[in-house]
Amino acid sequence: MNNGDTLIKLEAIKKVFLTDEVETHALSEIHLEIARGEYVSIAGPSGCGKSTLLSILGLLDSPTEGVYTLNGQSVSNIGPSERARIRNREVGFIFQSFNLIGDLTVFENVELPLTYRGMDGAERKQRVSEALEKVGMAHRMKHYPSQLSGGQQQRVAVARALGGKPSILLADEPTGNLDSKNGDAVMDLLRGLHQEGATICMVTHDPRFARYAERSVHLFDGRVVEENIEEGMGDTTQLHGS
Amino acid sequence: MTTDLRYAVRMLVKHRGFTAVAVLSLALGIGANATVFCWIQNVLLRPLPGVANPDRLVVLASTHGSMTMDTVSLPDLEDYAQLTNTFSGVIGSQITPACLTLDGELQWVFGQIVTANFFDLLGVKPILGRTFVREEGQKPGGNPVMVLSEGCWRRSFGADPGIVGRTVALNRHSFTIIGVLPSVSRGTMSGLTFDFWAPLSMHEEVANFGSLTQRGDRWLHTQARLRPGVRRAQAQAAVTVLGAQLEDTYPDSNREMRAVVLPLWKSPYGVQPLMLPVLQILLAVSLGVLLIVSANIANLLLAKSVTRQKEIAIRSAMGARFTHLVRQLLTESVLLALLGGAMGVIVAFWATHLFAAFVPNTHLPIALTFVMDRETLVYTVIVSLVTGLVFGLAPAIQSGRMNLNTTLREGGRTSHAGSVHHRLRGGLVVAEIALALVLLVGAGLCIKGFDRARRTNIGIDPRNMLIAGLRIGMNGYTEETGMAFYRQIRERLEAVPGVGSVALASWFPLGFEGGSSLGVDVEGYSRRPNEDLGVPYSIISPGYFETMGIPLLDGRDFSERDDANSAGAAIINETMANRFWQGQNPIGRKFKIWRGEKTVVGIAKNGKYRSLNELPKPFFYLPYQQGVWDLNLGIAIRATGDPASIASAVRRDIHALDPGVAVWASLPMIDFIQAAFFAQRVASILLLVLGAISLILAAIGIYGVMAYVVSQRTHELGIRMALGAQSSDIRRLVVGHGMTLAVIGVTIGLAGSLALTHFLTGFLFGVSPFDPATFLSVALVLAGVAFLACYIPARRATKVDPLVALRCE
Repeated sequence: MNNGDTLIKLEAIKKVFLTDEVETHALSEIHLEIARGEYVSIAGPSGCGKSTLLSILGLLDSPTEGVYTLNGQSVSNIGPSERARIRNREVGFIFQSFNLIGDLTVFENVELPLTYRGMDGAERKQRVSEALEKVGMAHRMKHYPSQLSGGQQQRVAVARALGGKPSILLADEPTGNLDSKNGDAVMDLLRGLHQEGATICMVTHDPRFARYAERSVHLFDGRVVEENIEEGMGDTTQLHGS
Repeated sequence: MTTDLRYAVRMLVKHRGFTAVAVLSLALGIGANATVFCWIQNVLLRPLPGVANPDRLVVLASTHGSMTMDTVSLPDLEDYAQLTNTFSGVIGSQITPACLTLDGELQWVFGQIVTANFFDLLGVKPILGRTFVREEGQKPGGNPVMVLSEGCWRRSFGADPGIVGRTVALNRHSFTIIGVLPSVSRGTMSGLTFDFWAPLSMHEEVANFGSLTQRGDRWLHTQARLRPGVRRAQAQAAVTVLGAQLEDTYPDSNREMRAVVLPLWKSPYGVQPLMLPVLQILLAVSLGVLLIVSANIANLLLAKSVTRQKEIAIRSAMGARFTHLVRQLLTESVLLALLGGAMGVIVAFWATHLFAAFVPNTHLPIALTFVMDRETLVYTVIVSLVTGLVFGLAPAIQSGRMNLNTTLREGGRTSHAGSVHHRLRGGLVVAEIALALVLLVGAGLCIKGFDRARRTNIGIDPRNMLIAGLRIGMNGYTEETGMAFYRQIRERLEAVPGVGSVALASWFPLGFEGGSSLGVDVEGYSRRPNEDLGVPYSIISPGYFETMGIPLLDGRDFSERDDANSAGAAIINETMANRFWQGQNPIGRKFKIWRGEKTVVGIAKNGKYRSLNELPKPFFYLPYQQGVWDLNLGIAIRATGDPASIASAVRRDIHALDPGVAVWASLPMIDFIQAAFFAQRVASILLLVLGAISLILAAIGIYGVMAYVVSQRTHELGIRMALGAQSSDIRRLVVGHGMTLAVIGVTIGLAGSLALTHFLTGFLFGVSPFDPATFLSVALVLAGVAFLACYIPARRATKVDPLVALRCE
């Protein structure tokens, strides 16, 4: 589904955390491009910087150095309000722990990003219904998250990410809190979305799920050490090391 | 916004316990503010119900140097009324009791004698008949008409619809009732309500005091209506210019006399001067309580915000801007505050009427009714909104400080508040303790002052005393027959079993009535520039000092021989002796008043005359046999036992002497002088209540913080215990943290108290506003309460199971 049009471009991205005068280099010299319509997985051992990279991609965090271009716009040094606006319009998040708001219904959770856009009620309702239909959760729209299974909650989270029709879906260990059956179902759902044209970037440490992606980026100690193009489940081609 | 509101409602319903505590706290804080504002509105800002456009109404009061006299003479009033570019009209009035005869029964009623334009200027329309016309103010004694209040019409005339045109006897004079006012109209003396109004031209028949023609006889309470567009400052300038002209034209009566134009809320008479300082203090204190409530709820919300970090982070991840988050959180806090405000209005509806409980037993027709009007409700809504913003702001701002990445990844399993968060919560507790200490010190000082005032020597012995009023001036007595009546009354009453001694006086000290002054011209004394030589006085009978318990320090008491045929005599108090005859013996020395020369025959001990806090002031006494201007005297009786037991015998004897004379305002002296304790009593009790509320809130605040700290540090406490910490170590750790905050709060509170308590000076009798004992004891009480509030969470901390605590993380 990759149409060659660059959606995300990271150039020499660095992230340094300062705690009690100790510098921790979470990311070093990251160069990464993600094309529109591409399905990329980011893999690597615990503490390698996967989630930090995803946070930077999702504008939840900002790089210490480097240039991040999203949809042709440099977003490395923009203010919190603009970051929130771009996050709302361009990024859809799917978290490991679902991160649904327990006091909101399924409908309201999916509607939440749209309310921050100032979208009118009728359009919001239509978008939410479509998104829930897509993940097969429309029949549960009046339920609260606590009334759903883990798999169902993650499908709702996917619907929430889809509702705003973002440029990219960022999934952080989306199956980490699910059993294998539900994990497979969610991955199938993401693959379906990708086949419909969605751009997806997924963090996972499970090689089985990494193979769902077209391309796999491996991190180690905050650096990209390997990029593979997945040719099918179980087939890996090493492109280059760094 | 609707989404925010819907979610806010859901959150409040979900967290019912928190909502209930917060709403109740807010109801107390906002209710206290609404109550005080309602009192301010009714007493100060809208003191004259039923009056049209009260904002344009001002008070005109005479001034002499720095002294403001309440009243204006009729000739001066008429001259001020000529300032037609400034005032659309000027009215004068004076209050008086009068005796109404109905079906042969005597009934005391209270009324106002007023200028004929009184009701027109006030914009008051009758519900029956008419009010006065201009001609009814012209001819002295020629306009025997009266207007009734609705209350009097219902109470005394059975709401007779044909009342207009009916003739009744008022002070034995025939008056025709020409109209009835609506119940809302209560005249122009705030805090009092009247039964009738009669034109000023009938003042001799109704009140028998004051002159309509003498410019120096200033006895009319005067109000004026500003013309549209004229400001008070402009009116003041015009009145000052006219005052100077009057001084030039009438130097004898108007020397150094001017007038001051005051807003109604600064009126020097009525309930305003009594209540203004009390209400100012109460408003400040109730705002202090509201601040404590706000700090408390902000603290609770901050604690809650830690548990909501994940929700806030999710909202941020979904693209919520900082303003979205602040709006969401402020919607919740404002909704909470509005709920508290609604409850506060209910509290205020109930509490406003509590004020009536403070009004002492008095013969005056006090009517303190409090209406929760639109302005009070608007004030309550504004206070609620501001409160909601104040306590919601800190948690809202905190929401923008979190690390999204960490919070989202931790998934809300553990929620750690940052050091800023902890400092903020600690700061709020410190502020609460400091504010509570200031309020408690204020309450403590007032209560101590009130206690001292109750035990102070007021210059008289009010125990076992009964006082009663007689108004024979309107009963056809002449000066000669009147004096004979009073002599006989004294003789008869002294023979009543249970009566120790009897005396007569034109005025008794420490009541609600202000009393009168006379200018004195002392032989051999040179008046200093702008020195006010007006000295308050009372006309008394022989035996007054013995009956009142006032020691005579030198000279003699009056006797029946001090009559119209003997030389004018006077007894002065110590302060007057020291002021005019310093270092000399005043006995035998002379001074002049407008009714002739007086020779000092005795010196009485100083006393309190108008208030407990007054500085020693000069005072003199004149013998009643040498003239009572209006023939009206009161009776003071010292009983050998309970004064109430002789009240009926006193009435019976007076009735036996003259059935046409009715006793009015008979009450024990102890009750009469409660007027002097009124402000202190109100301030003390209400400050105590508000101080107690603030103490409880501060205790809840520190408990809440310490309980939260313990819950946040469970893991750390578990590690400490696993490493061998004893229970006492843990207790010391937690209590030490809490008491550090308490000590900082107490220290700041003590400094704040030192800076603020001097505003209470007017309420403190015999107590310094910096009384160390009060400061120390309040600080200790507050520290003790803080210790208890820390100790309970500390004990809970010692119960932490290290194994469970470590597993928690």
